[in-house]
Amino acid sequence: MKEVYVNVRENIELVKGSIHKMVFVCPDLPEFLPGQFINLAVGNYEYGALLRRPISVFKHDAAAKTFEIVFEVKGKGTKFFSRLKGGFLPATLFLGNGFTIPAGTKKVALIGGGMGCPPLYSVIEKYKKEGIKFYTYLGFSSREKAVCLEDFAAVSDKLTIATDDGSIGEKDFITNVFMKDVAKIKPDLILSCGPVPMFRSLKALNLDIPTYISMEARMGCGIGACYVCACATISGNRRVCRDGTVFDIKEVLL
Amino acid sequence: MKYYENPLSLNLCGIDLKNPVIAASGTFAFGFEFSKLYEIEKLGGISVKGLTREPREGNPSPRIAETYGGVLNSVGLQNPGVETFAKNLLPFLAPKDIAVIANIAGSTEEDYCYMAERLSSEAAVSFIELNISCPNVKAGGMAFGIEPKSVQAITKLVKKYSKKPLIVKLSPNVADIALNAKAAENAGADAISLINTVQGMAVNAETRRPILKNVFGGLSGPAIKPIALRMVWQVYNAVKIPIIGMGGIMNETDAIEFFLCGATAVQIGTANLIDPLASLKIVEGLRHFVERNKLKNLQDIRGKLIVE
Repeated sequence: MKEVYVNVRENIELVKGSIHKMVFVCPDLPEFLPGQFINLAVGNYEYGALLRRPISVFKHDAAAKTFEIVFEVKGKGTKFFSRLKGGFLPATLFLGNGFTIPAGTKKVALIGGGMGCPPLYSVIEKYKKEGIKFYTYLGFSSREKAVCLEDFAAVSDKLTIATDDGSIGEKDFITNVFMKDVAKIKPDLILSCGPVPMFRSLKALNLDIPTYISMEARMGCGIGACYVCACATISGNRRVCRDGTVFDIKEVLL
Repeated sequence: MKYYENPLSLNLCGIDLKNPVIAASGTFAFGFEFSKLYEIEKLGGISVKGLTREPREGNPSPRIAETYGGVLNSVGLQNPGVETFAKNLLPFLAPKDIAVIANIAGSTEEDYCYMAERLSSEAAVSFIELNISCPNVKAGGMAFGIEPKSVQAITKLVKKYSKKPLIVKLSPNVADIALNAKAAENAGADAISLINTVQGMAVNAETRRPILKNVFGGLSGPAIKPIALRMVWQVYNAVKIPIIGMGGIMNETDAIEFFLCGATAVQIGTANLIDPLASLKIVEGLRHFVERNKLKNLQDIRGKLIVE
């Protein structure tokens, strides 16, 4: 991990007034593992939003020294980011343990929900060249919020979409849709990122497949020093930012 | 650089510190994470995460809320316990040229005495900081730190078991901070640190619920700096023992304000969360300050607030 300044190269409004994609350039770009996050300062803290915002990485390009994030405007921090046209922000990168795929893995199912979808792209980006097949399942509330579909379609071996209102893909929970396919695709590994209710449904499927989930929490420092972002596990409270964000689904008390 | 040639150096209760900038308990864990970002030996000291006799899981999540100019937390002393600290975490800090302050929080008087005695046997521990001011635990914590009488009683008792200089960390959630500071001094405290967090709460207007699962939390950050400065100044005028000032210090200018109000050293807490390099930047900023003002030692400005 490194403390750096990141330069805003692009800021694209993917969904009006809601979801943005930002592209950053950083000449001193550290090593990156898929699923890791950045802790991004809300400009000058003297303007009120003191804490940094932890946001997962969507794409990472080591050669170009760029990376991208996708976020939804929720509070004053994300509102501030959404208005940026350029400039530099302090950030700590890259944080968290990230997703790892053990050697010999052939088929991976990726299950994303809402704003938990974009970080899964970085998994395919890193492991695609190793010949692993990726079956991607993405769930959204509606067509309007279903972002990054073209990106996922271009790299996934099969992309399946579900929405709460059926405006695109199947009208069902993404975990139910996945359940219908799982016997057919027989994945060796499931990697997931999304809201806790989705993880609960995933756990309830009771599949005998190693499953890792990326948790979200309100954080303080983002580096493991303040013990704010606790995640209850079978072995007690763990730090989401440092012991995670990726945990074995069997260990997390959901 | 020799101790006496370094204009930021100080002697705190008989122990030489290379500078008066100390990482505050609960914002720096045990130093390991920050050591990935910079050489933590550049700081004068580290007050480790509040230790309890047995490991603690802390409070349920969410444990943090952002407020205007501040941060509200309700971590509730999650820590691995005093034994794991001594055996597994202290060895990381031991070889480093940095003063280690062991912050202890008990549920009972016996807990405090046990921990003070246990940690006194560790050569790598320079000071013991008596945390009688944590607002986030039901038993113990702040309960010992509200009434001057109980401050005096617990300080006197723990002093018997501590072979290291004893710093008493005071709560701002009290009627008269000067009385509590005097109570600690009378009971044999070697130094006072203040302020711990100010008790507060945050509400989500949409969900009509408190943001913290624990409902109440401790407020820190720049929002509490005026309270902290006032209390440091009051305590400076009431006691003779050294004061370690803290509460919302974000940069070297904030730190200097505390020195002017009588602090011998400062602790940096919330700023470490906002800018992980904050403590380091404050050391550098203080160095520039002494050069610019041609001070022989930063301590020359201690308590030099001009009140007309």
